[in-house]
Amino acid sequence: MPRRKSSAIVLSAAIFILLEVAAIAMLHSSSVLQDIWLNRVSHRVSGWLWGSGNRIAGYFQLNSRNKLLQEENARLSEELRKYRELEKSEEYLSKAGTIDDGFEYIFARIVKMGTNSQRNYIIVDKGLLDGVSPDCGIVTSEGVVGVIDAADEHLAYGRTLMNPSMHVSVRIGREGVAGPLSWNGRSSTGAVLSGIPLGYKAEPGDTLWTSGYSSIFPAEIPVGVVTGSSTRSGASQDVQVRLLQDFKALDYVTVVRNRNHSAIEALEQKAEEVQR
Amino acid sequence: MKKGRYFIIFAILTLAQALISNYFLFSQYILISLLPLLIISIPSRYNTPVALGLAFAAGFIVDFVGGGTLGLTSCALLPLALLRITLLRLVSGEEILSDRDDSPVTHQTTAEQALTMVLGCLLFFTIYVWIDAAGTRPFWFNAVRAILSTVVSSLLCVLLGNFIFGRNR
Repeated sequence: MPRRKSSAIVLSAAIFILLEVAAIAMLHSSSVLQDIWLNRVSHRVSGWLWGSGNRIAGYFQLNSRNKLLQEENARLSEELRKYRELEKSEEYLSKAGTIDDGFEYIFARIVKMGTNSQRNYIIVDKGLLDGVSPDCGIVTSEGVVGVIDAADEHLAYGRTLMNPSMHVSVRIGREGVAGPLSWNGRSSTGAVLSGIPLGYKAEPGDTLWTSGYSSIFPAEIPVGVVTGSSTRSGASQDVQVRLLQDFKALDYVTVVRNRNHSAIEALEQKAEEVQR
Repeated sequence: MKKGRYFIIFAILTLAQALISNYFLFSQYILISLLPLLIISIPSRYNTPVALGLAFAAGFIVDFVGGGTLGLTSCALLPLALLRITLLRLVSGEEILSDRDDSPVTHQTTAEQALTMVLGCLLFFTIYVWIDAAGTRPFWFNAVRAILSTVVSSLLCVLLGNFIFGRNR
């Protein structure tokens, strides 16, 4: 009985729709005013439907679009750094387009990352086959993330700045004093710049940039801002830093590989041997 | 009610409506329609698909003969035909449908009849006025037109319904 009732309802609905469509079709062809109005309504409805469809499709494509944007961002960051180098150069015009900072930028997604221990690490989805090798740096447009320690064909493992053994050479301002920056061990955005001479006055709000003294990170990457300073054992001062990159909000990173890293290391070894 | 009688009433009311549409347009704000009565008074032995067919046919004839926009009346009348049983059940309960031969309006009290006609006319005129305006008239005009038309037409439908179908209650 309920089945019969429901089939009667379906039949009634079907006939209703059929006859309404027929009536609308007649209306459509018999009056210009209604014709225009129906067209407007149908365009509005179809626009809404297609718009909704696009919005839904867009939602499911967010991940891939986000990846594309991150890749684009990494590429633009690389270009920006090159232009900053060019800007500083006196031979700006003559060297335009030919400057190479020696670094290669590889976009990567974070597979795993720890932020809650005292020795935090990161695993990214790019490995030896992608050009990632030990001693490559890991950065974002917001700052330094860490250094690659080991890599296999498709994955790479590294220490993050939230690790006491990790130090990055940074400079206060573009032309200020440089020193090693390390994690303060407490929050995901806190760091300490140590070994700054007492005579140097670091103002809160000053930006810290990578110095470029190491062969791991290129120069001029913004890292953090000064929040305060304190004297350390009367000989130097520690500068408290708020990192620009919050480690708890990371999805994608850029691995930077110095193409001259092996040559620099070999040179350093040779120099050490000579000194001995 | 004899089986063929309703269809004679249907034909007469449809032609009457065509005449009204041609000759009795008193104001921009008032439309007169007997078609809601025509649909609501269909005996309950005729199911919804039949009511839909009758509504479509009545609307087509009225528009065709009355020189209206073809499809407009059918378009507005079909939802009423679809909801006719629900409307009667809502106003008068299930028992109104137990007599399958007579028109349900014969078993309604005047108040029930009036409420049924008001709701039926309101549904019909809301759709009719909205489509007829085709987005060219302001909302207040459409609202006043639909309400005034509902008041006048439902009054006429109640009087005519009592006259044609009589009262068994």
